[in-house]
Amino acid sequence: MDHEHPLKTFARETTFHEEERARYDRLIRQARAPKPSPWAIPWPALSLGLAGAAIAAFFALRTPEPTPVSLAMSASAESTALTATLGEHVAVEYSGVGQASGTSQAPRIVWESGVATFSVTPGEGIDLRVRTPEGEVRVLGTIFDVERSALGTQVRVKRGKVGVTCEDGSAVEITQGQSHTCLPTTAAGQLGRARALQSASASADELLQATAAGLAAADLSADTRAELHAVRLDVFTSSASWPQALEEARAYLNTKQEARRPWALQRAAQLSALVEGCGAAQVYLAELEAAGAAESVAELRARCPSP
Amino acid sequence: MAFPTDDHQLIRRAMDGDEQSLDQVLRHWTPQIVSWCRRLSGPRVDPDDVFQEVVEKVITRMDTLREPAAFPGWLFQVVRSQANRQRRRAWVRKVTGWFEGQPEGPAKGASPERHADLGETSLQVMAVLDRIPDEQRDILVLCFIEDRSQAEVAELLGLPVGTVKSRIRLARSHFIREAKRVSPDLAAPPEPSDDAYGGLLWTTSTP
Repeated sequence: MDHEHPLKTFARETTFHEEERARYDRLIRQARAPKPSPWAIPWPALSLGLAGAAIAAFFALRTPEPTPVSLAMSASAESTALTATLGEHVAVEYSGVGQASGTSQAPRIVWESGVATFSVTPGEGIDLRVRTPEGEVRVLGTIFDVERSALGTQVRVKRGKVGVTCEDGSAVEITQGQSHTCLPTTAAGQLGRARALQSASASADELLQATAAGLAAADLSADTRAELHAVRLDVFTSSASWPQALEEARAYLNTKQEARRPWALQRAAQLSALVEGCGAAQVYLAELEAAGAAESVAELRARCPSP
Repeated sequence: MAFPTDDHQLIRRAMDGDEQSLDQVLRHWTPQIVSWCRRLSGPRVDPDDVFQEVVEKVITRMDTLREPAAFPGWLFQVVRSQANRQRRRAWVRKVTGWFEGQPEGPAKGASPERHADLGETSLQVMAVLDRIPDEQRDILVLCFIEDRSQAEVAELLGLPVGTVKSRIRLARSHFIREAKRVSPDLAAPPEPSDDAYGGLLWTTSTP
């Protein structure tokens, strides 16, 4: 195996790459922004300050005293993104809902929904943490987005490196250009994710994974269980997996939820006739007819008359 | 290794205060400035901070340059002094952290976050460079890392070639000594290298 000279490795890894150009153009623009001229400082004042310069420098280089931070962030996704500063070294541009607290040195953000882009001045010892129901992002000197939606919390790093700890216990470190998504850990969260995936025409595998995670969640309620089975019923029906779809229809009916019972009965009747024969469909047809919904299964009833 | 531009007229116009020319000079030299910032800053310093300071200095002090031909050497000195300034700040932060009883925090210590793109070997090289006197570090960066000729380095640093040669010898032995302290793996000689400086650095260091 070729062994690269360590200094060559260092040379290669510290070489500028053209794809970094935009970032450095931005730094140049920032550096070129107008600033007070150092020559505007009156020399007599400088002379007077010389005696205390050593002490002043010592304190100037210390971490500044943190100031409290408190900000309710709320901007609708449709409106223009809002910007705010959290102390001297953290800027945030957001369209969504969240709350900032903590101090200027250690801001703490609870981000509920939407997109927030944080920009942290490097080298100032800022300990910024952004918490969502799916996880927490820790950062020092970087620019990154946090987007919370029904799909979960996605973190995208534009510059620097951040640590992401998801509620499921997984922890990753991601660097410039990388992203990571913390998935919901609650049953309701997984149901929301599944519905969002459905709207986005995601694959059947992804949908089944999300709904299975929801059904395995510790906080699963009867309502959520029923809705998760309903999603799975749709997925299996779409992929013409009739026996699995029938199982999901029956699972929905077993939850005793009334919200979409006629719909589930209809599906169960059609699927059981298809998979197991007319005999198996009778129980669902009878319940629908007793509920006054005979018309909705008239066609099926014609094929499967009462015994 | 060639410099990004030797357009003396462009540099002259920038020296005379032409904003557009200054923009072009900065843009042409960005790759070189960035590389120098990364190589001279050390593990506790964010090279982007140094870059910004350098750009500010170039903008405000460009008119103090004597002649366009001196620009590369002047720029190297600006990067070097800003990197050293940030190094001192990082050191003071570390010391004040000790006085305040804080452990060396992530922003204050040797920080992989600041050098996320570097692998273990590069971080070790950076740690070794950090332990070496400034003038020898300059030589290591220019000669061994950037493969510049002795004449080129002499011109860049404003030194006689003989002085550069003696500093190369000193820098080489200092690097090998410190490399052994930082990591035995790093001190081990690599496969023979074609380049004169790499060979010089390593072949005679074999125990």
